[in-house]
Parts: sequence; structure tokens; C-alpha cells
Amino acid sequence: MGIGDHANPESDDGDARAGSGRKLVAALGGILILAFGLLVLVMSFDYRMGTLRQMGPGYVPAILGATLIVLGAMVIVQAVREETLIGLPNMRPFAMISVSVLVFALLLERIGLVPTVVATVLAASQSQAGNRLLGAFLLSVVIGALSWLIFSYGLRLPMPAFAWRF
Amino acid sequence: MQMISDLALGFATALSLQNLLYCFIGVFLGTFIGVLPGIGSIAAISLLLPVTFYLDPTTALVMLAGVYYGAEYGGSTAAILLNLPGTPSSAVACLDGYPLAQQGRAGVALFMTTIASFVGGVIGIIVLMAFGPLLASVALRFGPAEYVAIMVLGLIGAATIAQGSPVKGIAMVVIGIMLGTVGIDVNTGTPRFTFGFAELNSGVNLIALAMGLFGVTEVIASIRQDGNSGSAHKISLRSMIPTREDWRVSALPILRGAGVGVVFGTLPGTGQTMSSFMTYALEKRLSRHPERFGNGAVEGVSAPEAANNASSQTAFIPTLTLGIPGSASMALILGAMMIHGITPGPVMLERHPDVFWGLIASFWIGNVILLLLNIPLIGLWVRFLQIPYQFLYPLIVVLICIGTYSVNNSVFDVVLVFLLGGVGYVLRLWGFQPAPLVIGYILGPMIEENFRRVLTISGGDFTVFVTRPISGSVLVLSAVLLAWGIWSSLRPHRRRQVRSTS
Repeated sequence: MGIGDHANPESDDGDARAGSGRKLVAALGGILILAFGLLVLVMSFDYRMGTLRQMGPGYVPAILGATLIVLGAMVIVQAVREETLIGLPNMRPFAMISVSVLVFALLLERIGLVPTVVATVLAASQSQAGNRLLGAFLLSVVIGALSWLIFSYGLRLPMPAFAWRF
Repeated sequence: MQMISDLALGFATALSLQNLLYCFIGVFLGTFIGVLPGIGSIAAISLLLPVTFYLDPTTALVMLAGVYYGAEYGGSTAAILLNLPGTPSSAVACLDGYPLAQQGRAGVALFMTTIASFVGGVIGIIVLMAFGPLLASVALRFGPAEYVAIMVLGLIGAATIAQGSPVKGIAMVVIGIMLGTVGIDVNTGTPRFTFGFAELNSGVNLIALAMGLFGVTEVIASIRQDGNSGSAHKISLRSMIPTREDWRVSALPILRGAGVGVVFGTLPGTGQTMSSFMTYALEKRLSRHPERFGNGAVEGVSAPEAANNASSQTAFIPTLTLGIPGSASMALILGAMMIHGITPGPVMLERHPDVFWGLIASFWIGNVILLLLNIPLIGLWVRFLQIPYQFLYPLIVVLICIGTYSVNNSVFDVVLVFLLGGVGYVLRLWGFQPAPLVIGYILGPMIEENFRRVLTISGGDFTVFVTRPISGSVLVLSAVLLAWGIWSSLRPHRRRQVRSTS
């Protein structure tokens, strides 16, 4: 199932780049898979291999790593042979949504749920250049209040609403 | 009649106040998510997975399933009104739905899609009721070798048929299996790929995986710089009444669409999107006036909607009776069942008939609720479409974070969401879809377990997989599919696929 690609207008004009540079970029996906397979294969040697009848913990990962190397190579061949379209990244949302999740992880147990939610919303709303800071702040306070009401007061999830632990 | 008593048991379960309530919540949220362009039902199911920990298994499944098929009802609304598909499978509804809206016939299009969705859904449920138990009784005789073979077929099917490059799909399946090996190896007690983190001993958390790969990446992909909100017209109930001609041209296409959907729903990797596109192509070919398609043909909207709703119901056949999910949504629902200690498969019908039949009864109830939600209450959804997306996505991010944290009270899981979301988004840019990964993650450990069991029983003899007739033929089929997938990927100058029109 293609998920949400339709909502990304930039993925349609992904073939803006031209020439061998584009092929290299397209091949990068395969290189990524190949490198990951290599890593898995090397790491699986740390575990006992065992035999076919008595497989050790390293047996299946080694097979998987080797398979990934082959598949990565095939993706590279495919990328070089034909024109593969690469979607242009939705850079700003990519950065800001990632940051907002990380902000949540880093702050939650230090300053508590409500301030963390405020900070997460503030970071996430910077995904769009046009969003005003005041509007984002109001939104973050509203969502912060809502999450206190639902998760702290209503569902009594075991996380402090406010805290100061560093 | 065995089926009537089974169904009575099902309705007795589904009509409990709690199950009715959660069925309603499920289909309501499903429609809501479906209506909104941007995030789809997989993200919604991921978001709701943590909630199911607090519910009993039947209730949890009723709700998750409701989200899943409810989204198919809502998906066409934005497609018709704004020319933006709410779900991938409703992209087809844009082709004729939007022209209809421009001609001032949006009401009729919305009405017909709801009726078509209902008919498709009902036909899907009937097929599920008829063939589910039948398939389960056959599957009861399966040994571990047959299971391995069918799971392999499921994996290869999901990887190669779905969309984009089959080789990339297979790579994602293998990465999924790889992620499934993280944690303590059940056979030897060795922790694998945990990097010293005790949090990883029990494996990569399914919820963190789903939230990262579907929640975070979908939010990132759906944010647009120019704002997502559009202006949709008000729909009056009077404007929804179709003419006799609308009924006449839609009747047969709806039934044919449901037929296509029923078949494609049961196959791994195909699902709603493919069945709705196939149905559209089929109807255009069969039509005596193919030139009407694309210019506001009512049957061009109704037939595909019947197809995707029929297939969303029959997708439960392999999931419930064999324990083999054909799509990422089904893999998540399967994961939810396993969290509750219910192993889907033929034994489930004997051991938990109330879960199986209760779920089916809830489909009946849910589809009737959806009919009511989508015709008299259509104005509500049109209004939801006007909520600016800039208010919604920060809320979704917060819900992703709190939901993930709440499962194990673990910040580590939230960090995993951050990592998996980033990796998932980067992979998507290169055309690697996350759906096969999740299916691999769910099926991988099951294959490994059964694989080892077979070899223990046979004393290390591999030939049993091929000499047993069912597993042998299924494996041959898998091999053919695999060879086709690789061949079609590597063949030079392939006709370029329409890149995820969905």
C-alpha cells in the first residue's frame, strides 16, 4: 500500500535532477541495503553458527545478511539500468518532526508531561515555514492542557505532569 | 445450521455494551482518518495499538478492525470533494468523483460511494463467513511444513505483487525478518543484536516499529508548505438523492467490483488499492460509453468503492483462519492478537469461537453504523475536512509519543520511534515501502520457529518441504513468484511503472 505519497506534491517532480548524478543518487538506495547486509553478516559472526540440524543463534542472521547483500546489488543494477524516480525529500518536516519526537524522548522524564508536550508541539509546528510563532504557542498550550486532562487526570498514566529532574 | 448458531454466539458477543461502544469508536475514527487526506488507516491502527492493552482481546480487535474498514468508507469523501484521496485506495475516486463534484453532483457521488461501500462490505463479510471456517477446517490438517510454505508464499506475495520494485519489496521483507531476530534467541538464550540495551532483550517493540514507520513517516510526507485545507461545499441531503439512471448504471458495476475485491482481498500483497484500480480499468473496458469515464461517470466512483470495501473484509480470511497477514494493516491486527495471547489460525476458531464470530458480527454492525454515519451525517465529515492540517499534525505527533511511551513507560521506545521514523522516511524516498517490512517482522519469527520444528521432526531432512504435496506445491508457486519478481525488476528498459499513483 502506498501511504500518503499522494499528499507529497514534491514527489511528482522527483526527476528534476539529470545525468549520471541522478543514477548515483538512485543507486544509493541499493548501496544502503548492501552496506546494511554487510554489517549484519559481519555481526552475525560474533554468534555461534551451529549446523543445519542444530542452528546456532548466528545462522539465520548470517543468511539474512548475505541475502541483503545480493538484493542490494540487484537494486544497484536496477538503478543504473533504468531511470528510477527518487522523491525529493520533504526536508523541513523531516527535520522538525524528527526533532519533535526526540525532544519528547529527552524531556519527558526530566520536566514532566505538560511542558514536554508544549515543547514537542512547538518543534513540530515549525515544519511549515508560514506558521506564526504565536499561533504555534497557543496551539501547544491547548494540546498541553488537553494531554494533562486526558492522560494525567483522566487515564492516570504513570508519568508526572510537571517535574524538574536533571 | 452450524453457521446460525455460530453467528448467534457472535452477535451475543458483539452486542455487549462495551463491544458496541468500541465498534462505534473504531468505525467513527476510521471514517475520520479516512476523510482526512494525509494519514491512512495503518497509521491510525498504529496510534490505537497502545489503547488495546487496556481492553479485552475481542473488544480491542473489534475497534482496530473498525478503524480499518471504516477508513475505506471515508477515503472517497476527500477524493470527491477536494480531488485529494483520503486513503491510497480511494485515489481512483478522484478520477470521476471530482468531475461529478464540479458538475454540482458531489452529493450523488458521496451517496453512491456509501451505498457501494456497504454492498461491497456486506458481500465481503458473507464470503468471509462462508469460506473462513471452510479454509480453517482444511488448515487444521496442516503441519509445520505446510505453514512454513504458506508463510513463505505470503511474504513473497506481499513483497513482489504490492507496488514498486519487487526486489526492493523483498529487501524490505528481509530487513523486517532481521528486525524480528533482535532480542533473546528463544532456542539458545543468546541475546542477538541488542547492543547491550536490556530494553531490546524482548525484541524491537511492535508499537514503536509501527508508530515510527507509519505514524512518523506519514506525518512527514503529508505536511505541505502551502497548507492542506481546502474549501468544500456544503452537501444537502436533498442533493444526495441519485436519479434512476444513476442506480441503473451502477448496479452491475458495484456487484462486479465487489467480486474483484473479494478475490484480491484474500491474496497477499494485493488488497484494496489494487482491487479498486483493477475494477476501474475493468468497468472502463466493459462500458459501452468508455468516454464517460474521467468526466464524471457515476459507476467509475461506485464500482471501485465496492471493490476496496469488499477486499478490506476478505483480507481477514487469511489473517484469521491461517494466521497469515496479507498487508501491513493485517500484520498489525495480527500483532494485536498475539499481544493478547491469541494465536490466529485454524485453532482459533475452535479455541476462541467467540472472538472469531464476535468479530464477524461486529463487521455487520459496523457496516450498518457506517451507512448511518456516511449518509445522514455527511455534513459532519465535510466540516472535518475544513480543519487546517497545521492544527492536526502536531497533535498526531504528541499522540504517537505518548502512546509509545505508555506501553512500557519507556523513553527508549520513543527514541526507537525517532530512529525508525527517520530511517523509514529515507527508505521511502528511495522507493522502499514499509509495509513488507512489517509483514516480515511479524512472520519472520513464526517461520523460523516452524522451520526449526520441521527439521527437528524430520531429523534435519530438507526434502519434507518438497515431498509433502501441499507444502511442495505452495513452495513451487512461491519460487515462480519470486523468479518473476526478480526477472521483472532486472529486465532492462522495463516500461516505467506509474510511480505509486496511490
